[in-house]
Amino acid sequence: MTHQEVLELSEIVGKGNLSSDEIDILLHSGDLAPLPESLIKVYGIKPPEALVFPQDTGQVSSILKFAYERDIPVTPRGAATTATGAAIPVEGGIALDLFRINGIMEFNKEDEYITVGAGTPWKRIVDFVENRGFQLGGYPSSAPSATVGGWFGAGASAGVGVPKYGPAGDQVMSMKVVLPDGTVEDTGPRESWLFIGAEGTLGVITEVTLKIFPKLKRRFFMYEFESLESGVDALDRLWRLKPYFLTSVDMGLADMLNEVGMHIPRKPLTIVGMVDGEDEGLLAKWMAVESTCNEGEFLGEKPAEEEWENRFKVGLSFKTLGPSMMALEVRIPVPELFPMIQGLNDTLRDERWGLETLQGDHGTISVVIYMLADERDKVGFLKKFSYIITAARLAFRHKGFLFGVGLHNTSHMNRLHGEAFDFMRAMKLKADPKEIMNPSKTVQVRMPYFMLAMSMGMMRGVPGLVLFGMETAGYLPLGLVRFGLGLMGEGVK
Amino acid sequence: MTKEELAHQVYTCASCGYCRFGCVVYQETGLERNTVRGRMLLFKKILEGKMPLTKDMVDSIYMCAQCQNCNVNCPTGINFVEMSEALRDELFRQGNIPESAKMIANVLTTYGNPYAQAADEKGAWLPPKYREPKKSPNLFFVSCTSAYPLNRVAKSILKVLETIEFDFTVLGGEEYCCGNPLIRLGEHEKSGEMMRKNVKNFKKLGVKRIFTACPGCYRTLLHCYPPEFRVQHITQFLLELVQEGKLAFKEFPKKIVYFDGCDLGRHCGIYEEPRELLKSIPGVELVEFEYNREDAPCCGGPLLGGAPDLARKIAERTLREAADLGIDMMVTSCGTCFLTFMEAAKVSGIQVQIRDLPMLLPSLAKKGE
Repeated sequence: MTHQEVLELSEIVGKGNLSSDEIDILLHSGDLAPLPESLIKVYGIKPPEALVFPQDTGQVSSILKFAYERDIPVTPRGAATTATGAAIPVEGGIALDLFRINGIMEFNKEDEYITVGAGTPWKRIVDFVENRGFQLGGYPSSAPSATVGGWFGAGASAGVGVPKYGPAGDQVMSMKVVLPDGTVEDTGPRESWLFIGAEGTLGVITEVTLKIFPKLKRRFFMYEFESLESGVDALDRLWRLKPYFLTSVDMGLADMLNEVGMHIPRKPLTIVGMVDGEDEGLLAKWMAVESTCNEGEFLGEKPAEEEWENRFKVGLSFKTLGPSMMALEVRIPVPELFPMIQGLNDTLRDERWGLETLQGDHGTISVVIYMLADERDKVGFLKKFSYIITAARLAFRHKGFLFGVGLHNTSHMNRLHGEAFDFMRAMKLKADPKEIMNPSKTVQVRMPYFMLAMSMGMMRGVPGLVLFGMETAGYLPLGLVRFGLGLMGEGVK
Repeated sequence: MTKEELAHQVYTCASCGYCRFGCVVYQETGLERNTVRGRMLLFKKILEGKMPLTKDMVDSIYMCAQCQNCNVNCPTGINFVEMSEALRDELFRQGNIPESAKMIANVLTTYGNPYAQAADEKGAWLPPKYREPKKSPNLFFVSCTSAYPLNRVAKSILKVLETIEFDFTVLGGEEYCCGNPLIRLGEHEKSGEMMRKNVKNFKKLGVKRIFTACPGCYRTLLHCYPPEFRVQHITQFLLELVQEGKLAFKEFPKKIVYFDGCDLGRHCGIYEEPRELLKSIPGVELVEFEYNREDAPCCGGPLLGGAPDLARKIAERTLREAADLGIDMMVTSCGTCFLTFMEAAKVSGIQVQIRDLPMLLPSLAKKGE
């Protein structure tokens, strides 16, 4: 973008809604995972020239029209709480922070729906509806930061409420979406699915209308299992009872959490959940939970309720032990959890790691694997990075999918989706022929799979050499690095 | 906090952004540089030698109300208030603080109070019979806020105590600032001197119990002064009198929402005493804000000196919510919150009756039966 274009943009949104300050650009162009500078170079990442805070759908439309006419890349941004690089602007242009399209726009308790701005954090909506006798059909476990637009963009696959009501996308009654050329579309329930999981590559979600449900009576449960197999078996039967919330923690994570002052049973698997309903229906569900978990030890309702109350607060308290951490989130069918953990025990045997699960839709489960690390130890960090990629491959072997594609997982897309990948690519080009919307994400491969696989193998054996290679690449001209990667094929841009 | 501990906290940050949820400065500005997550990323760059400490970063350290709401939501337990105090100490030593903070520090060290008022005028509001401190185990520590801009709060307390014939003393012109505002800016020498003078006076009068209406003074008296004195906030003190049957109230049929200030709430854990005191007034109907107790937002007051427009905008958010609640009045137990809300209401035109809790009581107080 030229200086003149930045000035013109600032006239569209107002001076207070645009920043080209170096610090603001830096802080609004990363995500959860720290990216080594050498990797920034290998990816060929060019920081955005302008950070823009649109205030409403109309401004988003004006910004996109402006960008479309001039071929300026636009990368929408929620709270940037995934580690996939989805919110990282790769080709410069505009970082579009939706923070100011934030708040409850309409609450209709008669017809049971709520309309919210895409930049609203989920916890704000959860608190709002629950204080008024309703509940949501699905929201992420990272509700204090994750935004409505961000979570739907990332796929909204597993979360609180999802095992009961199904995919969170099914709760969408309508969306306001701005297409790459600036056209504003009001989508219905079916069309909205086009943009769910698209990670902002097809358009910008600005408003969402969601179904809400009357809040029913709740009962909580917590069971510990002496064997992992029986715990996973219980999980696989529990989701069929449609609990509102279903999560579990393995012994590795329990150990780490207990080391920082928590009190989680030191058992192969501990399950926490909540069912809801009216009097007799709730009692029947509760009895069904008890018979489903009869191989486990019931730990009472009170500790489970405390876990529920603290569901947003305690998750990462163990991180101080690292103090860095590597995390991988995958979705697998519930029965695959047992063999996958066995595989992880072998792969990560020398590491300090643990996992938690959150029930998703259709019998799938979101598994988050945490591994302690220290990013100040560059060589050790790289070696651990290779383990986490190996863990991802293990998940694929167990019919798993990654949570989100973003930038870092584009290398896997061809292999995971086969012919469907070509269809997705064609759809992207139809919706965004100039490829200005969040370029280099999802269906645009940024790192050839061959390069990724080779690097991971070397990271395990000779991490120091890989680090040297990456840092050397950092001194090479950007064009040369990208040209070299392009030679490896796979449509690398 | 040592440099190593500080670095450990920087690398412990998970960049999850939970700190943004309750941060009123972020809510108003939308800039990550004003969040703990943003600052941690910048500190990391500095620690790794990739970036110098710039003026923007120093400003960002001071663009924090130190309300501690970020700590409530942080899943990794980062205490940014502790961190920022350690950083402010160091920046103050280097003289590398924003101009607005320099001005405030200058006023505090010159006048001994944040209101640029003459120190010997601190007791000017007192009726003659209280001007000479007398020996008593009970000291009403008036505070700079209640002695200068808000002496109606101090007068209200005096009236309540006179109604029930309670024995106490005040220091008048011999009361020094508790030290809190200077400590928050990173200055320890002058604030330490003020504390020592106060302690000497407490001992001279045989004081055993100290009560104050200012949460900042309460926090400092509780945490930074010798533990030999029993320190109470005015709401704790008056509630105790009610529970002992020494104080009672007349009917007051009003719908009231209580606002939790940060010093009294998150920093000292006092949430229930003010509510219990209000509920002990017959006829009071108490309602709550959507976010209350440890989740309550900051009023913006700590930023009034350095960023007044921002502070007003932050306060307006709470005023708008209060107006929507259909209440008769909003009550707080903090002079800074009260003054900030009054200022924001005046500028914005939002119609909400605001009271510091003790101001309600003089016409309602009566001897217990």
